[in-house]
Amino acid sequence: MEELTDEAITRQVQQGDTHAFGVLVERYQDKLQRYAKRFLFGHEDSQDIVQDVFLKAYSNLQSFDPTLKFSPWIYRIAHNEFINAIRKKGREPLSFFDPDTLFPHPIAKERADTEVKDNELRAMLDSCLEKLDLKYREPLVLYYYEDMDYQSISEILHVPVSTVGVRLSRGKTALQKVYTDLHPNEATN
Amino acid sequence: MTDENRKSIQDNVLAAIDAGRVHMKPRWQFVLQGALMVAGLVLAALAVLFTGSFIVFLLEQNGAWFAPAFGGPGVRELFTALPLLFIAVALIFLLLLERLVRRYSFSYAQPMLYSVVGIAVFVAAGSFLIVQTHVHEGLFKQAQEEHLPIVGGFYRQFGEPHLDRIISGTIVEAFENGFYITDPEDQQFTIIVTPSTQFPTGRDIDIGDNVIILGDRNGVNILAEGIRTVEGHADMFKRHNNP
Repeated sequence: MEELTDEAITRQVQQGDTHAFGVLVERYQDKLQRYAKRFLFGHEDSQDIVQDVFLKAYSNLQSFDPTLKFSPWIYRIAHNEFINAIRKKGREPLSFFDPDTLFPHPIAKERADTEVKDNELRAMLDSCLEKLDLKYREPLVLYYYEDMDYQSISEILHVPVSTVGVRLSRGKTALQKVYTDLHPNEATN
Repeated sequence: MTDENRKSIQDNVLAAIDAGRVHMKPRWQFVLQGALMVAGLVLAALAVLFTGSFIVFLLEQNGAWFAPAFGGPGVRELFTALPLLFIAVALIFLLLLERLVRRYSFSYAQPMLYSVVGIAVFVAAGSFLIVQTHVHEGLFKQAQEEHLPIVGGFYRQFGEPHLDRIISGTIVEAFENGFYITDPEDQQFTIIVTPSTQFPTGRDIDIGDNVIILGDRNGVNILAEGIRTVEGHADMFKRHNNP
């Protein structure tokens, strides 16, 4: 079972092997917990929300097409559950329309940053994530912590691939500004 | 994440499945959902096309569709004649259609501008094609002959021309400084031609020609600012309840 792909296991669960779903939970619970903690800042019940993500995924598993990638599918469910949780708490404003999705943008080259720069960004993200706008926080988390490519992030967020690039680029700029505000001494050094 | 937490999520999920607290929805439910979604999309598209083509039909019926040939004053008449209620209804259906289309990956993976332009082109081309089929004229004819239940009253109410400065009719007799026309209700009007009257489709007009007149009315007399002929569209110049 361990060597099977997510999609092959999903097919088994769809055919009635419900316990195989435990393997998928095992594979994704750390990732989704990490995603939840960074996305749902200050939500004490993130573990319950992640559990609900798995229950919802199980309930809707027959809608999954095993010829596609499982990872964006379950992350999409997680994204929806997290948005619902944020909406319920009403802590952060959620916009229904993002003008960035309206017009085409040139797609920035993926992985243009060096590993050192990536690590720097991750360190900055860790200390400033809470201060970032949700619309930039999520793609940054998916890209830098969950190692998703633009296409997968586009499928999770249901936004154009070019918008993912724009949000990442603007998110990085916003992150640097927040970091400079929070650590003025480091910025001047 | 601690081992305890790991265990608890996995155990809780599997326990909920085993205890039957969560069920896997059957595949047919998603197939049905998908089919309903497609049906909704098709219905929204048809509604947009019907409303769009009906707007063009209304503007043709009252003559405003042909008015821009008279230049600025004609364009102003067209804007004044726009059926705002139907345009609002068409926009609501358009928004619904756009929202439904955005649920599919072929749409959300692209900038919204593309789907908006795609839908606008689809509606414009579709409405134009529907207008060419004269389906609305057919329904209007049936409505006037009282053969169209339910929507007949709707066609009778909105299909009649009612613009102050635009009139359509057929030339029945000419005189030195003008001519007489009969409108689709067989009412006769006197059209007075002055040196400043525009003829965007040419001065070559004869008895029997169908024309659109732009001008101010004084009873049955109309001082023509513009006169143009209209070819085809014979139905709009003769109401079917008037033999």
